[in-house]
Amino acid sequence: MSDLLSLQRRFHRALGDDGDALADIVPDAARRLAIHKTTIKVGLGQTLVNVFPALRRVVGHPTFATLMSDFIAAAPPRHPVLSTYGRGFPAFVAMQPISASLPYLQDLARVEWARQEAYLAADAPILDTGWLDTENAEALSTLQLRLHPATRVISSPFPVHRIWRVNQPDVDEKDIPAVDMTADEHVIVTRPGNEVVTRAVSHADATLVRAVAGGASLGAAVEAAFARAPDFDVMQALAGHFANGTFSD
Amino acid sequence: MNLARACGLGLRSAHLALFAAEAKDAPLTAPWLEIHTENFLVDGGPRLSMLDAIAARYPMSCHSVALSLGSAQGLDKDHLARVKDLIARIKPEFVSDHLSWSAVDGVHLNDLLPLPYDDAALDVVAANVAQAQDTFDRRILIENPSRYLAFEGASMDEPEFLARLVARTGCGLLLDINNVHVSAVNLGFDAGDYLARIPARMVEEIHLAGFTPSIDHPDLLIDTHGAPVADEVWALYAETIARIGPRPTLIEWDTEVPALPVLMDEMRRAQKVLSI
Repeated sequence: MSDLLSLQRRFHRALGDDGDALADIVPDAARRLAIHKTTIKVGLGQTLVNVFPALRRVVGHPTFATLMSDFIAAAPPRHPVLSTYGRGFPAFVAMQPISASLPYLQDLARVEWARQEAYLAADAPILDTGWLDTENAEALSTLQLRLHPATRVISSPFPVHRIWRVNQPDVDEKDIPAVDMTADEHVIVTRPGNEVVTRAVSHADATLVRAVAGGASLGAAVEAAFARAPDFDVMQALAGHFANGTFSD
Repeated sequence: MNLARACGLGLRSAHLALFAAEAKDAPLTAPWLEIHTENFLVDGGPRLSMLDAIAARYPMSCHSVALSLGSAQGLDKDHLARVKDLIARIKPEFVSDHLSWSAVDGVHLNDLLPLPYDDAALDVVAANVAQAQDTFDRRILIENPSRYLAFEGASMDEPEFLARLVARTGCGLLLDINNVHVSAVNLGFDAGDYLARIPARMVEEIHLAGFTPSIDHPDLLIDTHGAPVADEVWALYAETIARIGPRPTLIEWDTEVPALPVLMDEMRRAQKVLSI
């Protein structure tokens, strides 16, 4: 038993084969390994339950438990800090049979993961209108804004914001209104203070924020938004960003 | 700060806002608080700012669960660096992790997995503890884990392994009395004998927690940290304190965390033992 690494590899294997890989050196291996197996599974499962509550409500607890357990088997944590666990869950959900009948699940999961990232993102001062010389149009258009570290943009061909909203705890499961599934929706997640904000914005507005994130000047980002929607209300969109901390100074 | 006669509380997310909202000059709710370090290794946000507010008032302890000090492949340097940053940020009285491993080949199994108690494992753990102490530039405490299985061919038992680890690295022992009881029941040794063999000078901190019998295997106890401290554990605690003298003690719940008054009752009960 001098090689600790090979023992630890065998232990890892034994967690997946009911203890067989350790049976020769651990008495009662199957029963005892089962305790570690349960601890690991319950811990990771609780992490996913905490991060993806709306998805869990949409698919129901038993289906979520299956998704969870399949994900844990397919993608165990690669990082010592558990709050990073679940990043790959939206893409995993997209590949599961249930996404054939509920194709918006992946995007709902992306919104919930964005909220988790926003909650734990670095602090930074919020850019609000006080910083802007709104009289000077030329200076405004060359302005290079920076996204706040908490800001995330999600675009979906489905009404993902409404699906997320009606699956919050304040909406009784018996009273979930019908959602028109033909509309696309775009979501910006921010954290202007201690609370994470999840806002639906227009496609043009999401385009603007993505352009800024990609390094475009405010003028170029506004142009990209107008190209998406000629009736884009730039002042209203910017007011929303300044009020909700999309940008940092 | 001398916390030897002080019983503290494990600070869990359910109570974070409560402690953070206390007035700056309010009396302390507990003499000291212990966090799970990994829960605060985040870039920013309210969790960290609440911790800052709490650490400004309370003596703190940083208790890690994921350094994986028993990993044959060594420690994760990025993780060590982040823990070091948090230590610098909140200036804890104690820094600790477990006599266990959780990482192999880049996979992090979120559990405190057991080590075979032999010379090869001792070499690995001693090197890792030394690296952690060098990185943090301070002594760390190592906690005895709850064990559910034993490896055939082990050349020493846990008290001997811990004593040799302490002798080689200068680390201290975080003695979890509940874990001794759980391991003793699960592996069939005598908890009193185990505790009697722990030299007093090694013990820097004590943990008290609750266990739950396994539903599937009623002969095995699970260290859930989700129940009141059991009478057997209180008795072992009183014997230990009578033998080694008072030590900073922590009431630790991780699951089914009850309301604060329940924790305070257990804290006061330990405080009585410490005051004798």
